[in-house]
Order: sequence, then C-alpha cells, then structure tokens
Amino acid sequence: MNKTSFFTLVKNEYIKIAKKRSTKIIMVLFVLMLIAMPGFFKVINLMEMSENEQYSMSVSGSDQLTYMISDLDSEDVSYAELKKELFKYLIDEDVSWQDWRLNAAQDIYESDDKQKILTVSIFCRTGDWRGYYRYAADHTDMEGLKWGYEYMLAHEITVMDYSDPTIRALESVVQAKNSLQFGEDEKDKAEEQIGLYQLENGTGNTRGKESLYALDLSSGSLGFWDIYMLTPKLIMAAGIVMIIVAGGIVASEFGQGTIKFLLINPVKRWKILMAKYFTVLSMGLGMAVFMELFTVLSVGAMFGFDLDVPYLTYSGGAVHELNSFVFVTRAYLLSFVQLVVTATLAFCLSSLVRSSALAIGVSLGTLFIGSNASAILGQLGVDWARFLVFSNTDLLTISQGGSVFPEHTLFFALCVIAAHMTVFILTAYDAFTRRSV
Amino acid sequence: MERQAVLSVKGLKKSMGRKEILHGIDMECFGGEVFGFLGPNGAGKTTTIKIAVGLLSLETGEVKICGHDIAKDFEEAMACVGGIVENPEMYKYMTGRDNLKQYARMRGITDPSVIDEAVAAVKLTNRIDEKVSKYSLGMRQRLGVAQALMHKPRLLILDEPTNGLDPQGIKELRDILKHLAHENGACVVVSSHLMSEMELMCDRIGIIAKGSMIGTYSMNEIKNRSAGDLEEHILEVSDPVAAAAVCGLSPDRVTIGEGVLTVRLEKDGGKAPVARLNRTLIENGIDLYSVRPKETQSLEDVFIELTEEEKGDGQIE
Repeated sequence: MNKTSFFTLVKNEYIKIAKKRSTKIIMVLFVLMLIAMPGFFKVINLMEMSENEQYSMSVSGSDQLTYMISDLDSEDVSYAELKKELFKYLIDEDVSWQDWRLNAAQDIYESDDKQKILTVSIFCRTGDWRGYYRYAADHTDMEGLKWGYEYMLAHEITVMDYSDPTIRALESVVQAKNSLQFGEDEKDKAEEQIGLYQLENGTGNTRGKESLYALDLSSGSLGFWDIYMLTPKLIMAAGIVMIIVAGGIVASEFGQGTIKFLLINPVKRWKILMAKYFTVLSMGLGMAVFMELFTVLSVGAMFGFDLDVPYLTYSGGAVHELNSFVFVTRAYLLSFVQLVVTATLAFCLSSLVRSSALAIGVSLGTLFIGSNASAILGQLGVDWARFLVFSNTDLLTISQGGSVFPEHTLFFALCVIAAHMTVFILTAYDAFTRRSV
Repeated sequence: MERQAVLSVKGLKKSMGRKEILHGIDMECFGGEVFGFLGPNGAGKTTTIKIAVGLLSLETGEVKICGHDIAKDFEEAMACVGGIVENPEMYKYMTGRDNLKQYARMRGITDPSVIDEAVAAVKLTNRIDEKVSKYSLGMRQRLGVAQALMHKPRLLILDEPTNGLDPQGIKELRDILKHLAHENGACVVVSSHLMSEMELMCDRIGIIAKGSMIGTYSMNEIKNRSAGDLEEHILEVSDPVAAAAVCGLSPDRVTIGEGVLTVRLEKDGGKAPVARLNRTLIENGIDLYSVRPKETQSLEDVFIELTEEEKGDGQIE
C-alpha cells in the first residue's frame, strides 16, 4: 500500500483554505495594506513638503523672528532693544529659516551677555559665518556644539537643511557628544560613532531602531529606507491571518462535521494534525516573505529604489556595514517568532476546545494584550513575569536590550518560548489524537 | 478452506464515563454479502461502527479489517474501508467534485476517471460541479456514498445510508450495494433501525440491543421464524364447515371463515400435511380451490420481539 504522503495532506489543507471566500477577501485586504502603508506616508510627506516649500519661499524665517520679537516685547529681558534691532534687520534681509543667521539669532535670543550680542550682531550684518562659527565654538561649554561648529567651519556648511542626511548625521553626533560629556554611555557612543561614519562615508542607514514617531515627516524628503525599515512592524497583519487560520483549521472540521470523513481515511491522526500545523506555519512564513518582497516594490514605487544603502551597527568599538536587507530580514525573523508562538496557541486551543471563535478570540487578545501586560508586570517589579511567554516574544526589542526585565537575553527568551511551545503542541496532540469523534 | 472475514469484531466493550455501553460485541462479516446491522435507537450500532473505523478509541476487544488489526495497523486496515458515519457532512463551500478530490488524494487515487465513475454510480454527474451548500440531503447522501466507494474498498460501512433519500434513491442505493457485494465481492455493512429496509437489501443481519449482540441470522432464518411449531395455511374450499369436520384436526387448530378454512399444521412435517389434507378433502367431495401459507409474523415483529425478549422493556438505555 502506498502511504499518503505528508505533502498530500498539506496540499489538501491549502486547498480547503484557498477555496473559502473569506480567505480570498482577507488576502486582498492584506495586499491592499501593503500598498496603503507606504501610500499613507507618501501622502503625508507630500503635504508636509508643499507646506515647507511655502514656508521657505514666501514666509522664510520671518515668522520665527517676528514671534521672537513679540516675545521680547512682552517680557522684561535684558538688552531687548539690541536683540530686536538685529531680528528686524534679518527680517528685512528675508533670511531663510534654514540660514545660519537664524541659528545665530536663536543663540543670542536667550543670552544676557552684551558683548556676545554685539559681536554676533556684527557677524550677522557682515555675513561673516566663519567668524560666527569660530566665536560660537570658542564660547560654548558643550563639547558637542563646539565640535559641531568646527565641523561646519571646516566643511563650509551654512544651510541647515534637515532633509540632508549629512545635517541629520551631524545633529545626532552633536547630541551624542553633548551627552557623552556627562558620562560614558554605550548607546550615545554608538550614535556618535555611527554618525561620524556617515559623515565620513556619506552613506549609511540607521532607521529601524526608532519607533514610528521618530520619523521626521517634516524633514522634507523621506527615502526608501525610512519607510522600508518600518515594514517588519506590519508583520502583525500576517499574524492576524495566521491566528484566524490556526484557530479554525481543526475546530472548523468539528464544526462542519467533516472530521469524520477526514479521520476515516487511511492516515493516522497525528499526521493529519501535523499537516494542519505545518500548513499554518508555512502559510505564515509565506506571507512574511511575500510582505518583505512586495513592500520593496510598493515602497520603491513611491519613494524610489535607493536600495544600495548599508545599515550601520556599532559593536566592539567599531562601526560595521551590514546589508540593509539582511537587517530587515533579521527584523522579520525576530518578529515572526511572536507570530509562531501566538498561532501555536491558537492551534492548540482550536484542537482542545473545538471552537474556532474562542481559539481566535483568545489568541488575538493575547497577541495584543500579552506583551503589554507583561511589560506592566515588569515595570511593577514582578520578577517572575519574565517567565511568561509574552514577556519573551518581542525578540526584536529584547535583542536591542530594550526589555523591561534586567539582563533579559535572547537565549533566555528562546528557552522560555521553546518550553511554552512544547506544552502547546503536546496539548494539541493529546486532545486531537485521543478525542472521540 | 474457511473464508476470511473482511470485518471481524471480537469481544468489543466500550465505556463512556462509568457506564458500559457495549458489553462484548462479536460479529463477522464476509466478502460478497450485504450485512445488515440492526438495532433500535441507542443500541450501540453507531458506537460499534465508530470504533471499527477508528473514530472512537478501542478499549477492550479486537477489530480486524481484511486481517489487519486496527490497533496495530491502522493505516493498512483503513485503506480497505470506505464509509459514511452518521450524517454525510461535506465541505459546503466547495463543489462536490472538489470534495471528492480531497478524499481521492488522501487515498492515493490519481486517476480522475475514478471520481467520474463513482459519481456516475450514484447518479450525481450533472450536479457534481455545484457547491455542496446547494445540495439537498439526498444529494449529500449520494455524494457521501460516492466518497465511500470510489476507492473500491473491500469493506463498505454505511451508517443509516437511506436517511434523506427518496424511494427512487433508496432503490438505486440498494441496487448499487447489492451489485458491489454480489458482483464485486465487497463486504457491505449497513446499519439501520428499520427492519423492512434491511429485508430488501441484506443477505444476513446482526441484531444488537442494549449494547449486546443478540445474534446473526440469514434472511431466510428470520423469515421462517414464527410463533411456534405450527404453520398457518389458508384453504379456499367449497364448504368450510364440512371441511372442518372431515379434516381430522382438533378444533383449536381450525378456524372457519367465509369460503375459507384456516388450519394450523405441524411445521416439521414439511409439505406432507398439506398434501394429506388435500387428499382427505377430495375424497370427501369437497372442492379445494387454493392453498396458501399465511404470512408468518412480519419481520418488524420478529425484530421487536428479538430485541425486547432479551432485555425487557425496550427503553433507550
């Protein structure tokens, strides 16, 4: 007798899923989401850009200067007249909001040093940016600023265009150096070194570590990597689909009454169960791979295919270039683990309680609430919460050292996950193979 | 050489919770016969069938299908089986054909004409590409039968297969099952609680009540089973009163009717008593127009009697 192959069983499961109308609708929504996400940022970006254009062309830096003048009027500030005189001059000159002179104006706005105010005013009126940078570098206590002015002096930078990656890198180095002045910190050190590396090589991508909110939408032009680095977070959508499939794949056979026809075949029950589990996992993996590839197209179509930008990391005292796609793939894989755990939970419940609604509901709930709940427990100092599975599923954060639990390592997290998965799978196996039908 | 049973059940016991619902079932079904598995509701028919096809776990006893013990060689045993247990539920959002393809793949059938043949056998060809959600109960039953027989199993187990079928459908199913058993040598096991249905379909029946096997009988045995050793015959005669007087039987074995005389004769005498009676009547100048044996108890009566005499009251346990 030729035994029914495992992949025949998997094929059957795929056909059953694919033939459902709900599956088709979900898949269309999924693809639409992959197009809508970069589209959303494109629209916002275009709106911000057109605003900025207006700002720099017609209003220029005057708005801010006018505001500063009115502020000086309303309060009792020393040398207000001197400051106002300079600000009015700059308004007449119609300086751009990105001009170094606007920076200088802000510099003296809060100063109560008459000598400084007079000196900076002269630099501004004569257009002597070298003089100003020299003067500012010599008169600041902040090492970062000092370094920044000297850098701008050396590289003749007079326009503070924040859409320029160089300026952004400069800014981050300045801030990192300022912090480092008050104590050594690994994170600041990394930021400093990566910033310097970017300035030196004129390339490099640091996105992905930051949250969505760190995206500077007003910076003018968002690039491919700004958006593409965010796409691993969308894997949650694939997770929802996985949970829906996993929660229904066993329970629906009972619900439809088809389980009897399924089990009367010459195939042992555990093989059928494993085929179903494999179907859930492979489908989720397929969706994640599809996401990663498809979003290259959808993001690229809207933000340009500027693909050849290395991702910079700092470790062991040196900056390393990593292919950015490798970094994104790593982010996908780490995020995927959470989906595997939650889908396994859904699968286990599906087999145990035979109700797809319950299995899907509980698993979606834990997907959204689980990690928050364990974060709260962690912040409350409940140390045993580190053994909860959802304290360990956000591997991306744990790998970046962002866990709320002290000394939380990737290895520990993987061990906890493995233990829970074993329980889930054994429960599903036991419930399914011994069940009376 | 002794025939090997296609389905052999020995000492099958099953408990649900603390209650034992099967108290040791023994039966053997052979190739080439339609075996009726008969019992009132709740007698344990479906439980026995479910254990035999692996839907319920086997606790005590042994089930062999084509010589394969289902506890040891489940896959080999199941490869010989086709069946419908309880309702013929299929994937409603798929077409009939897509449903059958699912089972074909699981049984390693690659030739698509096998599906066509099975569909033609149950006369569902012109509706097979419609979604099952549009099927009537009878059509789903036919689809279930097609599913069960498409891999030409040596053992076909059908649990109440005539449910939802119209009289035409029942007759067609009967013909299909008889054909499979008598021409193809398959063993067909059909469960039912309707004796009248079994009568037309089965060669042998096994009767189960209250979780115990009452016995297996060939159809003829059941038919001949009657109240006692006497067999009633109805004689159409010219003068029933005179006939009663001359027949030589005690009055309690004779009933006089209008134009007919009903007599009870010894069963074990075969046809001889009738012949003797005939001769006596003719010798006494009484005309005999016809003799017919009176219908013995209906099969339904036998069934009820059998299932009740064992256990008493006929309550669902």
